[in-house]
Amino acid sequence: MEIAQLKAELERLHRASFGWALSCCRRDPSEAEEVLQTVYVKILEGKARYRGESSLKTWLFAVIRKTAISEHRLGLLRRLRFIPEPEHQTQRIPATEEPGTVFERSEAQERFQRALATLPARQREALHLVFDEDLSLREAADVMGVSIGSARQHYDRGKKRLRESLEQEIAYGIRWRGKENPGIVS
Amino acid sequence: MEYVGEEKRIRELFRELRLENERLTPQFAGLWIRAQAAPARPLRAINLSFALAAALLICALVSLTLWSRPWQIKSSPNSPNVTGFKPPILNVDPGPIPPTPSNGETIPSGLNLVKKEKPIKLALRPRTETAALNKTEISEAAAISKWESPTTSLLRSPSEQVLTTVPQFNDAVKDMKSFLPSTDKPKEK
Repeated sequence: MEIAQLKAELERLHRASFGWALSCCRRDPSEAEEVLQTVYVKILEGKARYRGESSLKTWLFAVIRKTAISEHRLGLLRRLRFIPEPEHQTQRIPATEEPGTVFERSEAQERFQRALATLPARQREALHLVFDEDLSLREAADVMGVSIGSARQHYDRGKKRLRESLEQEIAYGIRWRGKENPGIVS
Repeated sequence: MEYVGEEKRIRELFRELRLENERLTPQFAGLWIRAQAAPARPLRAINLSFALAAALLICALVSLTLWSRPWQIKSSPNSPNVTGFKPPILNVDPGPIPPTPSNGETIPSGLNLVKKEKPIKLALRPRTETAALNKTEISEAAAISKWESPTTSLLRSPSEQVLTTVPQFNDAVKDMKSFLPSTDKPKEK
């Protein structure tokens, strides 16, 4: 694939790629941005090459996932002082959310994100790929580097755990409100 | 893909999450330019970790080799003191010392029995050498046959003779009586 053509495809998938990178980086926007930039560097340097064995989206998402994992490992090593902090990282913007974003977020969304954060990484990934990116279980398995049976298990367990977490969150919310303001809950 | 019930609700929540993600998404052009301008990642860090892992591996291998060496020596079949037992030194005349072979080859005394099993090789040796070897073998065999373990004396007792020997019919009646129990005497009366 020509680099210009690849660039156009990457631009088309940019938003989805960033969403997936966010999911892989535990919703840290600055880390996700760094991961995505590293992925683009890899593509430009030819370290990550698309060979047409799967769809471009599947391939790109697999590269993002692997890069996020390796970046996470490097981050751990940096914390142990094995590796010096790169220059561009020191100028990184701290991962803080704008106050407006938090207020705009619905209560259900807040609960959902909390519940999603409690899920194991594989389950979270399976749910994200299927529900958000509209990928089939086979494609999700390709991205995650697991068998389709394993991907299905992660998907089913993730759904179950997400439902349980949401139910717990709702029950806790009602109990908490009842304690604070007994008039609300009859 | 059609979603119903719970799945539909999860999908709606993910859609809402996507909208939030889109607000956080950086510009593609900016990221692409930064990626083009980004210098190649230094490999020093990776090399350092590799060097560390390699050093650890080498240390582990060296320590394993050093640890296994004495074990190999102990477990070799030719070593005489496998159990740590030292036989007592006997004052047996070993006979004349065998002359050194003309070709400078020395024959260790511990391997004499092994050499005996190879008659063809033995026949090829000079007569004097074989005779000397035979003498030493005989003396060693005698020494081995005379050898007693240090605990043999513990197995000996004063009544050993009574237990091991049987009285003969030709012996005197008095001697016979000494073997009979004393309870038989009243019956005789």
